[in-house]
Amino acid sequence: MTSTRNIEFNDIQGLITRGYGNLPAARYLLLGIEDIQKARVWLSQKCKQITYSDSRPDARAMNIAISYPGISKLIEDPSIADTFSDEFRSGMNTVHKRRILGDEGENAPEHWLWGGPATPEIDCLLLCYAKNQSELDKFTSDLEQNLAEQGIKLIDKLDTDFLPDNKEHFGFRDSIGQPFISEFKPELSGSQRSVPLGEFLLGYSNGYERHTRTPTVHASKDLNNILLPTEENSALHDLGLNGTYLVFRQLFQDVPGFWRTLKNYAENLSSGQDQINEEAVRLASKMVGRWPSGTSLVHSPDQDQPDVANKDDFTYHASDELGLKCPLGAHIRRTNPRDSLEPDPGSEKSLAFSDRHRLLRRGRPYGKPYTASVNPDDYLKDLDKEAGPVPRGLHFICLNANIGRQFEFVQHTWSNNPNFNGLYKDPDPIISSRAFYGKNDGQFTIQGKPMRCALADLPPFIQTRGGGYFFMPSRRALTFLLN
Amino acid sequence: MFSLLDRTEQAPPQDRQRQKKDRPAMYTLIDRTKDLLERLQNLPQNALTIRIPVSETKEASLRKVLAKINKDPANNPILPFSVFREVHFARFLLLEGPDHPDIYATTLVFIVNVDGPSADFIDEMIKQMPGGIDLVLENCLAYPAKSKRTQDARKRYLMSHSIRSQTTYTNTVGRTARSILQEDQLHDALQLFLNDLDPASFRSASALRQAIIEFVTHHPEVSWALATRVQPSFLWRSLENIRFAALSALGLLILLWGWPLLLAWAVTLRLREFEDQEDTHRPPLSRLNQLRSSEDIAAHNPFAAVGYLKDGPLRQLTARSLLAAAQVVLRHVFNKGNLAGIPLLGLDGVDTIHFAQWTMLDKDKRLLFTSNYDGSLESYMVDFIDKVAWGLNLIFSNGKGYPRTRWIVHEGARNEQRFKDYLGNHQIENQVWFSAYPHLTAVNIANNEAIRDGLRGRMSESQAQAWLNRL
Repeated sequence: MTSTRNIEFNDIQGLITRGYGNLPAARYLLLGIEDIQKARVWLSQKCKQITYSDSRPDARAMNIAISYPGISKLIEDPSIADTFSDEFRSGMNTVHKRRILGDEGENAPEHWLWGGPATPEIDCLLLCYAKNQSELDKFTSDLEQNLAEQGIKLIDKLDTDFLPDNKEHFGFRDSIGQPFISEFKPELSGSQRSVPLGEFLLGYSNGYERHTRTPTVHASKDLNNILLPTEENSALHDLGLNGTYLVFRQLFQDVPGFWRTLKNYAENLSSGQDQINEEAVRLASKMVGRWPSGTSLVHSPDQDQPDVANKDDFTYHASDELGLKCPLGAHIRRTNPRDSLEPDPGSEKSLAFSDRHRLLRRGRPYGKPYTASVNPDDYLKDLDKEAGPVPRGLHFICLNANIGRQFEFVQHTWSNNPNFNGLYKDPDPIISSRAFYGKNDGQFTIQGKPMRCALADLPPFIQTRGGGYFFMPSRRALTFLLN
Repeated sequence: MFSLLDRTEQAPPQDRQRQKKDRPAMYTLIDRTKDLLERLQNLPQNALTIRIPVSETKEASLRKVLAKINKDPANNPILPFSVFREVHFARFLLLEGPDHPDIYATTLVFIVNVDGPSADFIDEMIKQMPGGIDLVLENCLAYPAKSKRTQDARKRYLMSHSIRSQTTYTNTVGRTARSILQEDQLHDALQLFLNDLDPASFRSASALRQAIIEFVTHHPEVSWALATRVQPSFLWRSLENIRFAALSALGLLILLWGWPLLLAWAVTLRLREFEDQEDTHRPPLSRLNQLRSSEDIAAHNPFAAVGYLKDGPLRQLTARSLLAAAQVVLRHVFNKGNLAGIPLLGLDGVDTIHFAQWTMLDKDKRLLFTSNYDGSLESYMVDFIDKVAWGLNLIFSNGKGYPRTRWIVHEGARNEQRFKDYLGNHQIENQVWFSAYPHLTAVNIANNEAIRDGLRGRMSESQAQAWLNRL
């Protein structure tokens, strides 16, 4: 089913088509609806400021996403809320979601700062971006004014911090392997492999050449025809069209803990005292699959080569089938295996398989970096300068049309799975919790000649501190919801 | 009221006899022939399936016993499955009757994948834990009274309720649970050995391999690995080949002589496909979350689903014939780890299923499908949709409500959302599930086997390196 629909960019929220790289300051407001009548008025008014994809903002941008409890408050008719996807309606806190996402023990939602059973229910997420911090402060303080009187409770404010060079806190360049969607950048169309639009936007053809299940409203409940009918059934109006699902996870990163562990491994493996830091960076890069500069190990297996221009232009099968360059269990080889998995590794089929499990990442780091340079070499000079854990990490945000087949699949079947890719007890060395099958037993294997090197007793480096599933509506859907 | 219930319980239901009487004579004849053939040429791995009517008044207490077992399927005090070294997987599930909720006819289904004949396993189970069996079965109809529970009585009861699966799949025919566990120990021992080695001290892969072989030779707890694996005998394998040749010839004859009939059959089915009613309702979220709550506690999961066959003799016959054909292909072709992969035809296989079986129930009204597969249900469904949709369609398109197919093999499961909904609507819960090797995937098991095999024989330098890559 190929879509003949013209894409209306003024109906699609801006965050879906761009990450606002030119707006380095960002803050997320977590809101609860206390008085639905008043909240509706406030939201309708503020939603005039929402940024859509037809414009490229240069000072401020705002986007909105709504949780299932929020949807249930905005639409009184439960039969409409029930048309949303199962994962969105379940949320992240069920027994099963905890198990597959790795949110047990220390990571359990009971300990979360937000989004868990111990904290207030979140109805709405406002994502605010600005060109600098003072602009952002002005922007969000306007939004926060008299909130309580507007029937809205500000549950939490999540600040972000801009790290130079698109780095994340462990010191590696992030956000490189983003899926390319030719409809969003027609000028580059044909230059690289494009992932079907329907994988990230509801109402378009997905990786199976079908439309992903979309929330709908019976025509009789949309008498003003705010929404467009679905292509399959004109009696159903499409509440999902031009919208998508947003996954939010607040991930604490134990930066000194990470590098202390790597240094320990390096001390056990390396012969010369002066090479220990270098070895630690090498081992960490093996875990990530990229060097700190972002250059992939497939491009440059032995040392960092920051000048590799296109850091995303590689596949695994032909150049590194056995994982001798980029280990089979490395973080980026799991979160985007490219052409390395069945069916028929190295083929178009294998690429298409991976394409059905892609995520459009829009997250930002939070907390001050361990050193201002965000450079592992500087980190390693003094790993004990902080007395206790300092809150820093990643506000992981991703967009996908099918949370089960995309975000949850990547997190569970690829990242947290100790048996991934023929391995035995190797979960994702960077982002996984180490608990699986009732055991606590993570290791990381670096394939090599004549034999592999196994790093045993891998401690966890990240911890889940909050999270939730949201729906990011189109302009039309938002109008319908607030009507 | 009570007397009425008592009477129903006391009346011997003789389920199997009744089932046989109701069944067309042809099938009885076929079953008898199969029984005979099976005795002549037994398979190394077998699936035992027992289905017993549950006493309505005792269902609650049965559920309690099963829940106790499931708390620790390997080592619980009632039926500690880890005692049986020949068991790969075992499960209990409660299956509502075909006319639920109008008529109560819930049955307890017990499925075990074992090495060796299933009758031997029944003997073993009765010998080892008669008390545990009684605790479960005394909640079922017509189980012998306490005073009459001899070994023989128990065995007769179990055997009389055992039912036949039309099709069974074994990942690798001939691979025993014992060898899987042993080779896992070997793998662990070699990992520990390698962890303490300095690779720089070996000038070649062959030298390193030699060191590993020496380690195995000198350590009695793993030195068994140097002996040749116990393989099915030459005679057995020859008979399998003859069997396959004979059945292929039969298939060819059917094709040659029966092609006009087959063509007519295909066209009729194609025409019927236009009228097939798809199940369009979404499974309730509460049901899905209930099913999911017991999943993903091991490297693999148990799947169970039951559905009604489409009405009419055409679909019944189609299902029966395709299941029979599938049985031949699964037993003789896809018996070495790769299911349904045919590179020549561009068909992709899956290597994530340990065991699977298809069992017709209630006079061919319903089909029960059970399997043990690696990974999450989401990845299992994705494998079905992406890789083996055609094979799935062949069998399951005979089920009521299945996503519409074209020429039986096309579309169907490829309709992702409809297919996932269909499974959600038909999946049932396992009350008890045991795996003998919960941390191993089928790929791990095959790799362990290759590691063991590589301890023997000569290897070139590149072969030795390829073998070391497995470690």
